[in-house]
Amino acid sequence: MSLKLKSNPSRWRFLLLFAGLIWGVGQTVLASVPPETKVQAVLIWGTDESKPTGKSLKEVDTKLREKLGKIFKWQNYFEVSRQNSGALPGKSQVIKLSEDCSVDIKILPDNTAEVKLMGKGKAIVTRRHSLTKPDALVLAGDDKNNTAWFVVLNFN
Amino acid sequence: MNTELKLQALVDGELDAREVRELETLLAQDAHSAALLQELKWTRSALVSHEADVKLPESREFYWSKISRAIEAEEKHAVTAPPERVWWLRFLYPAAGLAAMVAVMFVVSGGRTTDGSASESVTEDVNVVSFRSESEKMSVVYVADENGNFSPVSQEAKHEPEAEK
Repeated sequence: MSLKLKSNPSRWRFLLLFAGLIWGVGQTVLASVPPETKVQAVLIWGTDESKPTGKSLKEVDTKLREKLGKIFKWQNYFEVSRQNSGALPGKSQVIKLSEDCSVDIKILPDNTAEVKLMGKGKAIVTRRHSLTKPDALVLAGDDKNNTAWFVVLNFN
Repeated sequence: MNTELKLQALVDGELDAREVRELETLLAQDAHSAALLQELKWTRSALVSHEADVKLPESREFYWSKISRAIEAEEKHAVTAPPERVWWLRFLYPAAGLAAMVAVMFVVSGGRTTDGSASESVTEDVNVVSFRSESEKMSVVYVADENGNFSPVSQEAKHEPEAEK
């Protein structure tokens, strides 16, 4: 017995419809998987003094240093810690940056990120940041001895 | 069947012999029916003898060949217009409408989420100054802790003159 694929228009139409159905189901499955938002969090210390001796601090990259230098008054910016993570929509993602500091990030349905700066387990400030613009979110504050701390968050 | 119809059937020659005899008996007794029969016969005679003699200007074979060619032309036209084209064209208008609806929804939802999402809440003993630097593409939230308790950078990481001395 031999199978012959006849040039039947109704058969081709059925195959076309079937292929379209498979494609549609595939697209629906892909769309139902929520995209992960990549988050980079950097804890920075700003000071006018030179790099402390015997410390493993490194200076922030030139581009970020220039940006911070145009907004803030400090001369030196040292990177204390850096964390890369991913945040799924609707789920809180905690990124620990130091012993006493972490950020709790939640991606909201309206394409914003709710960022909680946590200090010793307590929310210091909560900020809603729009993800429609490529802006970095910088949480900052005064530290002892006329220095400052910065938490720079980048989303993409 | 009433009498008038029977008389018409008699004129048309549609009655059998028994019905004809019955009707003739009736006509012998009923003058009104006899007059009606006579009138119907005249009418028939007038129609038959004065019917216009219409002749086809073309021969019978030529007339039917024209009909045959018209049928063939229609069949050929039906073959040249493939049914697949008609099939997908039926989905074109609903698909275009759906695409327009999705585009409108996208524009409406996009306009709502672009701005106005930047907001913050703080604890009671903390003051916050927030601003956006357009040139540096940065949104800044500066926290002024009145008590000075919060210091995310650990003492080990910093250069503390008191600790070193």
